[in-house]
Amino acid sequence: MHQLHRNTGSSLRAGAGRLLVVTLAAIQLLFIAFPLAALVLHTPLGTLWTNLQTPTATSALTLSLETTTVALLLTIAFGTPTAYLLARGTFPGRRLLDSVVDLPIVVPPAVAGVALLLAFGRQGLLGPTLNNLGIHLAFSTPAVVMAQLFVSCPFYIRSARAGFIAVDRALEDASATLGYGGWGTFRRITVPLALPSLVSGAVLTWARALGEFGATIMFAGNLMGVTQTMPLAVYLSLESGDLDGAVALSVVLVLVSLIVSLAVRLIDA
Amino acid sequence: MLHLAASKRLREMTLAVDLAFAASVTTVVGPSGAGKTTLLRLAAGLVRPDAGTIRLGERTLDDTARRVHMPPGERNISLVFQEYALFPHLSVAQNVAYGLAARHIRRAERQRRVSAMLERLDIAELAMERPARLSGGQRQRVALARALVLEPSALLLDEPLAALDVQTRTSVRAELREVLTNLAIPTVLVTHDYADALVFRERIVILVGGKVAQDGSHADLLAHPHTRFVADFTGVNFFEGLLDTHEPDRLARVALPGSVEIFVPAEGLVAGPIGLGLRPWDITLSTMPPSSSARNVLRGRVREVLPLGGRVRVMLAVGPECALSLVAEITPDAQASLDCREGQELYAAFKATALSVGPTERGDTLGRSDAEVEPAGSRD
Repeated sequence: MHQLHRNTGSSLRAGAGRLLVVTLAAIQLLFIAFPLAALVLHTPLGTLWTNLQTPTATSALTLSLETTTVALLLTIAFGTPTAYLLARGTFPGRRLLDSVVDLPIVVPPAVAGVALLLAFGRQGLLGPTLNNLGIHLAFSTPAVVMAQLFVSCPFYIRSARAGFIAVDRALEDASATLGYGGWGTFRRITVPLALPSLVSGAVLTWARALGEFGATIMFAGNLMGVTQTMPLAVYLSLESGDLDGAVALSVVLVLVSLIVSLAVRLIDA
Repeated sequence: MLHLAASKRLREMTLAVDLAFAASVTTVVGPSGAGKTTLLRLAAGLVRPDAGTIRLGERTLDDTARRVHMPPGERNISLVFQEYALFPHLSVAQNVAYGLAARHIRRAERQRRVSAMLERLDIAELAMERPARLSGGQRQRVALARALVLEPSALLLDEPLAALDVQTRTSVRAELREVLTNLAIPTVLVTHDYADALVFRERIVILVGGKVAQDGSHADLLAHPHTRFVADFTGVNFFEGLLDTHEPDRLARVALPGSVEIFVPAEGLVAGPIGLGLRPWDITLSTMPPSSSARNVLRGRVREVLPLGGRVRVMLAVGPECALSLVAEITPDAQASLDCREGQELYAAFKATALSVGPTERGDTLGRSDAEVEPAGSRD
């Protein structure tokens, strides 16, 4: 009798525990989904389409597409060798470099913007040099690309590095004995085998660049058609009382984010 | 002739060898960490020697004094990697064609050579498969095909049998023997398992701690081992037979050459070809049929008696036809009491459980540590 009582008690407690876990998880998930749903459901689809035709929206869309594409290409060009070096290299300070590469993820974007200003801005360390060369970065489209590059490149480098590490070195050695040099082996063996990691890293980097706000507004400013990317246009629209314009661009960004997160999951699976 | 006179410092020891490999198969055997793989990587050019020269025929591949280092791809030496290192994203045919493409051989010629090689190794029907879908034995053939299609001037094989399961091993050993003996190029096969070395008995190099412990034919090593390690390592009997029926008492019968039958513990074994190892010190010799519980008793004739320091190695020919060689090891005392001499008839007895099946079990236990060696008694 006593035994039975204890069993009932413990199964009751287990049931209550499960209920608590499910409730907490449900609240957490709702907290994420509810605002996004509110955003997407705010405007009818037809109106949304019209709101995307305004000069502010179209120029922001175009600029975002252009700058993020350039930022992604630059990340791949410079980040791939960096990732390979971090994956395969044996040199002192490699672990330190690993964490340096991760820094832009941790540093607040606004701080990154200030840092970029102090490095490349008019009053920055390289300011006079760039000025003499006739290059004025601050408040220009290249500055937007630099801000995006700075904050988003770690996502690609991290993912690519993990992908390269996972490639069995014996395969690269085999390729070398069969006659290919470093580049031939990299192209034929290493890249194809690390491709899923490279692609998912590139997708994440692009998405981060697309959403970049803090560093851009600090370093590049907010000029329509020059430095006003989508997140900046959302901010400006809201500030100037154009809620519909802000919502339209936001919905686009949410949908892109959703596609990206699904795509990455699919690639990594 | 492939000639390595080179040294390479490794984490735990220094590999330092002066070895010349003629146009036949040489087996390099040693425990793990002996520097076997590094030896092959030096020859292949994947690592540079700290000092010394590596030559292949008239060509100098490495010469540290003159700062010569020929890259791996220009040496025309093929290396079959441990676990084979087949490219997982390429088909069998693409794997085999890989080296030909690197040599800028035209497509038609490439296809001709690839299909001829696949044909030769009897894997033509696998041409379109990915390596992940192949069995261990098939992977090994693909690796061999990829290496041989380049018509290399030397062939290196790193533990070519280690990746295979016990029973596949026996048949693949025979295949390997067939393929490699007809090559007529310097061929170096590295293994930690002396049973693999017995496939090519003509020349066996025992490598221990980065140094050559002994270099000779299996018969040399067996009769005149320079060190206790070599004696332990080489003395192990290895039989290839056919497991046919399961007997009572959880035993299985294995038919060996020379009409010899022995019994092994049946657990986990299936009918078919099988390789068995037997340590010489697990064999008891007696003049009369033994009364012990040993399940295997073979009658034989003493061929040779070799004193080896603290123990005596007795070479026997056993079985109804006296056709199976067996090496036993006994103490000098036991030898004296048996009055063991050439031509004498003896009974050799060993327990079914003394037989070890396959590589995983045996690989690490074959070379006994020195601590275990004393005293090498005639135990039962």
